[in-house]
Amino acid sequence: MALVRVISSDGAAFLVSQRLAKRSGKLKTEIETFRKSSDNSEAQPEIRIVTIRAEILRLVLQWLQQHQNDPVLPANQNEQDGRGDAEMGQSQWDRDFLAPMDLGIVMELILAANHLEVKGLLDITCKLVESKITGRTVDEIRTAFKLKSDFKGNEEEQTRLENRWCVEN
Amino acid sequence: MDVKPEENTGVQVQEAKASHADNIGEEEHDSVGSSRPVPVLPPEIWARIFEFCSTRNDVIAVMTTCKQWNHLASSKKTTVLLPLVLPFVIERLQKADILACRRQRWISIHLPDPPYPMNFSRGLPPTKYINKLYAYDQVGKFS
Repeated sequence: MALVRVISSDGAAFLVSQRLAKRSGKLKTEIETFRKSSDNSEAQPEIRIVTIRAEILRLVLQWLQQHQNDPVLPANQNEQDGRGDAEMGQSQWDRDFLAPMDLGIVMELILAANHLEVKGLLDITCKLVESKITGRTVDEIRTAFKLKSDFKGNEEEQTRLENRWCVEN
Repeated sequence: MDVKPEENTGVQVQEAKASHADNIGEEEHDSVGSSRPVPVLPPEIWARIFEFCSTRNDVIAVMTTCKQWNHLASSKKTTVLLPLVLPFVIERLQKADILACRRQRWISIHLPDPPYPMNFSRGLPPTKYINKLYAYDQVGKFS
């Protein structure tokens, strides 16, 4: 089995089958670039991911491992409305996988999935973050995402007034 | 640590730090941290997240949270409000007027310098807007 060594930003190395690694667009490109530049066709590629720490990289690989037999979604699928197949593609395993994670980890996972070009994971994590917004008030959203209002003067009140007519009661 | 790729999984940690489990399949969900600050997501990711917002209230709440979110969700507002507004447009506007609006849209796209001031229609009801539009000779050529 052809393997590839994927190294996280904090130095943890993961030995992954190339078949599995190629389900990530980024890793696939890196492996193909390595193959073109290497004289030895048997050499094991080593890919350093400087932006993803081990805990997150492990989760991404774990998700890829679980979904290794799924069809690969093209990166631009449903690009027109910006959404993927999050509702359709989310399995019970995915829900159990994401359930214990706090928001910070989920957002790191989003960044990792985006960087590694793993569309399926990006879709379900984005959907999960959206679920933290659904049904919440502005103050609750700000608290959840640790955001502060940067509206100046009465801009916030003006925005509320502009949109008051279309709020559902 | 010896490298022993597992059968059927294809993944193995080769050099994990002491705090990491040795096998991906044995990930301890309880260890997933909670005290870290929330990472900053780039605008394109937020836009992708907001695309999943499906109710008006959620979109409005997002728009009222901060300036960046207000900007990112403003196009989404149109999408969620369209089903609300469209029945009234269809009910109140004559079909001929709707078609005339389409023609006006076509003209605005294909004519780089419209022969009428850009804000001439501000505040006008749709029928008056169309009538005033017809008053411009240049527009008449597309009739």
